[in-house]
Amino acid sequence: MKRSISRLQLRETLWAYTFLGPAFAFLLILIVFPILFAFWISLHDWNLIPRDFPWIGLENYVEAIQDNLTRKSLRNTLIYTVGVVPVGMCLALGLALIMNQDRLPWRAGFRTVYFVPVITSWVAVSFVWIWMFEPRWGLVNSFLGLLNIEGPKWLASPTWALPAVMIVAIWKGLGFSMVIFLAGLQGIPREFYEAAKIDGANRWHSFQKITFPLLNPTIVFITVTGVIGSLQVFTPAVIMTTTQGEAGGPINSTRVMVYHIYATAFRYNDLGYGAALAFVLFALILVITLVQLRLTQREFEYG
Amino acid sequence: MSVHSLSRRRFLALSGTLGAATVVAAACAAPVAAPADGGAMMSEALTLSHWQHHSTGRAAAVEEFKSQFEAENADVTIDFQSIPWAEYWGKLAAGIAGGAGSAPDIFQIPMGLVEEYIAGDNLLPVSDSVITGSEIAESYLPWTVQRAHKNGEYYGLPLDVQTLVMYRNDAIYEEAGLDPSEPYADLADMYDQAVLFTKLEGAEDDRIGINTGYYSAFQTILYQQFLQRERDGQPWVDEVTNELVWHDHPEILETFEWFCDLSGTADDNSFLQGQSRFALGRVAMEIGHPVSRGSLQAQAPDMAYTIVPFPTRSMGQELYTAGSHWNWVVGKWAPDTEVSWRWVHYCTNRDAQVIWNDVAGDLPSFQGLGADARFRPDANAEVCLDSLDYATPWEWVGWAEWVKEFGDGRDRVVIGNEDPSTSFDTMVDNLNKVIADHTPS
Repeated sequence: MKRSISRLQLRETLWAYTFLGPAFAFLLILIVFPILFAFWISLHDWNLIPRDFPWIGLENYVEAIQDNLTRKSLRNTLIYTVGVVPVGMCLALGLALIMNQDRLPWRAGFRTVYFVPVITSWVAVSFVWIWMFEPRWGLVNSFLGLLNIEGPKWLASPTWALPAVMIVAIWKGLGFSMVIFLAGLQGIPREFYEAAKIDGANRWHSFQKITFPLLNPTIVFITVTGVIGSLQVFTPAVIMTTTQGEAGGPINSTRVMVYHIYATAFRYNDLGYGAALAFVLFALILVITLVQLRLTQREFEYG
Repeated sequence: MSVHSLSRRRFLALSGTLGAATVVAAACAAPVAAPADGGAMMSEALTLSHWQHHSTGRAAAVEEFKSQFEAENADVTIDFQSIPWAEYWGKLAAGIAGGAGSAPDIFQIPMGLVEEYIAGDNLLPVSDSVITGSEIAESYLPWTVQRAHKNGEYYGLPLDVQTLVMYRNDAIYEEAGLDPSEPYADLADMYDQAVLFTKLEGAEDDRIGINTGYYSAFQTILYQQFLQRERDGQPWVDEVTNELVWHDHPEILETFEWFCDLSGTADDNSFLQGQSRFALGRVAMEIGHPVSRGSLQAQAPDMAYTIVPFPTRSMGQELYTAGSHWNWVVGKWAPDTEVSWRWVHYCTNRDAQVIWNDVAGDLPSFQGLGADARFRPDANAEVCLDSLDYATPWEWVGWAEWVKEFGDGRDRVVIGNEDPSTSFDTMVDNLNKVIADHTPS
């Protein structure tokens, strides 16, 4: 039997679409259309200085695969991500566990101190760290000197420039991850720990069997957002290692993908190739995120 | 009188309808009218948009010109935007891509990009009713208008004219018993002095002999100097192959090796990295533009320094320097060609150039002004002004890529210990690709 739609249902449907319309229109105009247009641009030899823009199909994508500089930028970005996310996460978890201790004096003060870098401008901290990494008179090497260690040339060295940027990124992101972990830790019912204690579990067992498994959603969140953010790193790498207006550090050792995209499109005027590089990065982020979600998401339940 | 209460249902219905109507209205809004023919007639009230990258002195100068111009032309308004350097290129590109209504009518571009803008049919030639081609040729220094000259027409007027000169720290020279005002005998003399002054012993008074960090300028002047003085002014891009001629001249590879050696011996890129090393008194000499006098005045007002010409390759050769400038241009979408060019000419004419020199330290691009006493208040200014006479323009085709390639070429050798000839070949190959990408078809 054919189901008839009542007047009331029709009106409600119409109203629903009326309310959805503006949001959908903005989504189309501001999100979907620019993405499709960027893809269209990536299929052309599109220069920022207006002229004819010949269709070149997938040539920009082929060039992206063959281009040494693109490969180096991708490599740097991946090294940065692999270094910053796990190390930052471990440190943040350790810090959160300490900050979660009821008996810790000045707990609120410590939490604030660790969170201060998060709310400080990337530009400001980058400039401060440039000074701190100065090989001769910088604070970092002066401190290493006290330990009889000869510090490296940091930002001037192709070997140490990227690690220097990574150190700053870990330091700056620590407070944010710590706060998220703290929220996760405080969501774990105390009864579990009390029950485990009665059963004779020590602290390590409690961490292993209760804390870590129940922090899984928090770990997934921090990993996924951390990886996405790290793959899009731009500001510290650019500010800390720009010479004569060109970022990327000595021998392109800190050239990261987003800067590579920016420079290609807006410094070298090659918008078509820049757009293709943006889609390469998008694909990379998508694949890595899906793999991460697949590997890290697990069902869990309290009790 | 009945009172109508607003129910939640009615409120939501009204909000939804209003939102949808706003979107429809915005989408259907009439676009900004574009000029039919590049603009010929001046309308009753005309607004011209003018963009340039920001510098405090230059922005103040344009504001001054703007108020005078608007007072003299009551129907014209100059919508001037001084855009921070970091945003200038993105904004200009997006504006021009948007065309009329979003693109600036008047804007500035470096000389290395002007040919591309002309070839893309984006610019309007200088209006004859404002200044004729022959007047431009007679008025401006030839090298400052040559790159904007195409098919018998000029597409830009020059500003921010700069050459390359050498800055010396007087105190370091005097400490070594040398006269800072004594010009270099040749490149070898500069090398010897740089090595003499270098002191990198881990002490508090460490310093470097020469700041080679402006790698792109250094290499540009070195290679052009050779071709201009020893190969009869041969351009560095071959017209037939559209590639650099550097491989045809072993002297250029030798010069590259010499530069890398100088940079590795008398400079250290880790020494006070990112700081104004010359202004801090930690550098005996560095290459720079005359405009750097303004920065030095701001950063180290008490510092005594002397400017001398860049050395010749060999003793007895004629002096040489590479000159650069920006062009003020008019977009083809400008609503009124004549008024647009009148405004550009107003800001670049003989009288205006005196003001540019005062506020920004720009060298004049007007012929004869170099001899004007107002431009020569001291010995350093004399050297800068004289350099205009022996300059030819930088031959970059494109722009930022050259900074990168020259820097990478040097870094691979000095930091990466790569064989100079291998690094040089990579640099030349990459630059040939840059030239191809930027050559208008």
